[in-house]
Amino acid sequence: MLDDRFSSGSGEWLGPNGPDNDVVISTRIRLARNIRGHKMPWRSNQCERQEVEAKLKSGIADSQIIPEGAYWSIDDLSETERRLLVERHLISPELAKGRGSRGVIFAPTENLSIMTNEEDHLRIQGIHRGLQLEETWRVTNQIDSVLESRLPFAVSSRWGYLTACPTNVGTGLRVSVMLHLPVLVHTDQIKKVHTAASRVGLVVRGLYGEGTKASGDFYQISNQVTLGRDEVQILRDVRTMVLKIIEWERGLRKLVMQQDRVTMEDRAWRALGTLQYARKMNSEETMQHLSSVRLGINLEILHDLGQERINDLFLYTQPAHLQVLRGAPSDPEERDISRARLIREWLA
Amino acid sequence: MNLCQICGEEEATIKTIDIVNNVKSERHICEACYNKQGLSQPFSVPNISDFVKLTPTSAQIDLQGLGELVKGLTNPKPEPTVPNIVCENCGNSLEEFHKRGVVGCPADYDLFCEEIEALVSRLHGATEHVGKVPREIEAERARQHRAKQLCADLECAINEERYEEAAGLRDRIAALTHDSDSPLHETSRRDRDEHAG
Ligand SMILES: [Zn+2]
Ligand SMILES: [Zn+2]
Repeated sequence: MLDDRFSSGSGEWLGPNGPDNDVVISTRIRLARNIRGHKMPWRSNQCERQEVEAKLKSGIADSQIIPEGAYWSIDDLSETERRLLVERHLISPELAKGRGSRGVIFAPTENLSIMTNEEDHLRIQGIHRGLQLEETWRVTNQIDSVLESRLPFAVSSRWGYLTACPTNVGTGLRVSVMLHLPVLVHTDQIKKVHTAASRVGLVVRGLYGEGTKASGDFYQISNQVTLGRDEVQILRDVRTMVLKIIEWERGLRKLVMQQDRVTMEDRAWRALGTLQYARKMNSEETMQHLSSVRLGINLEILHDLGQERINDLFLYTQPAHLQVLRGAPSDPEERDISRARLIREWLA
Repeated sequence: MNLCQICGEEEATIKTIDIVNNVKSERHICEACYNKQGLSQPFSVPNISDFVKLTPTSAQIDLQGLGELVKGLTNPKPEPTVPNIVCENCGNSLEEFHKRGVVGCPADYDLFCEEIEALVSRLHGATEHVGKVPREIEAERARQHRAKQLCADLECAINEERYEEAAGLRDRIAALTHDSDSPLHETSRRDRDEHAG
């Protein structure tokens, strides 16, 4: 059982006042590593995975990198708890699906998590609020350097860090920046983002990965290339692109406010009204309205509404969080009713 | 309208399914991008293993002849015709690698070197790592680099008949090469140099 810390508040990375927070939600960096001389998790039997897990656990414990964190074995978590950790970006959907000798250790701030026996033996992840590429890389890189002195990573001088999937080989580095782009979507210019990103080898995805339509105007931009470019270059590529997108989104926000202020006002107030009074609300609709309210706050249309409360609502209206908080039944309609009630209460 | 997830410009009319490590992921792409990937049969279900097969190495072409290659390009599910290689360490085979697109253990990168090279050059546009490596490997890299430099100096010295200098260079190269089985040795010596300098 996870502790009841999860029934209130969110990870530090979802907090307010991050750099460029009007457009950037969070910066995430993950490193994929494997242990020399062992089979990849998919190729290993339970016994072999257990051996690797034990090595990793003692390596992590000895290095004191997350002294306040407890190790959670996937097998010890309920279905809801696993989904809860996915919703908080502490584990991947892939790890949540696995069984036997895999798990996660994360810092109480939730800025750092380390997964064992996911696709690779080790996945180190740092996540910070707003645009913080350098800081997030510094922390994640430091953890990696500490671990490398205790765990013999599989590396070759030609291929770099050897990963289960060749899509990650080399640096094993994935940089993902989560962006809120309501006005680029509103003005039908989001394809400009796709085009520009793919030209420099970056990929744009929705909040939950591969879907075509991003939920609530949220997009993740991340690098695809991990071989032949070093970490500094990869970070610089992502940074350059993200700064450009921020500039477009801000420029359009300003323009729309000059030319069509009332439409923006209507959108924000209408969304807030719906959230405050609706009796039934599904996830997708919730995301859409929360997105409009978030924009309304950033455009200074809506006052006296904390960004923090809205951010928390993004998290706590998701299925597993709703269930932990309200014991909501798995029946979708009942859940929609419970979700609407939670939102009403939080916004009252 | 759903936009193509590759170019983001055209309407996505084709759904492709990748199965990597038992995990299925869908992509919606346009016809132009689909064709650009060399996946010429619409509505087939290409996966990463077809990607590998579509970029056979020269060795495979020699083995199979051109007819086989063409068959491989048009048949969405070609039979494996390459002799199957099996990893002694993990039991993963080349066939399995083609099917899943993932390696069974780190040693597979050397074993399936040619296939990996073809795949990563398509995925990353590069076949050589630059960037961070563990300190131990970094020291090894630095030593190799140093030895290479000294070899060039040695050649120069011999050409210019500076034999005394050449002998000294030869000893230093020998010392570097001798150390190479003990990375820790090198580190401590470098530390000494730093203290001395
Ligand atoms: Zn396209
Ligand atoms: Zn192997």
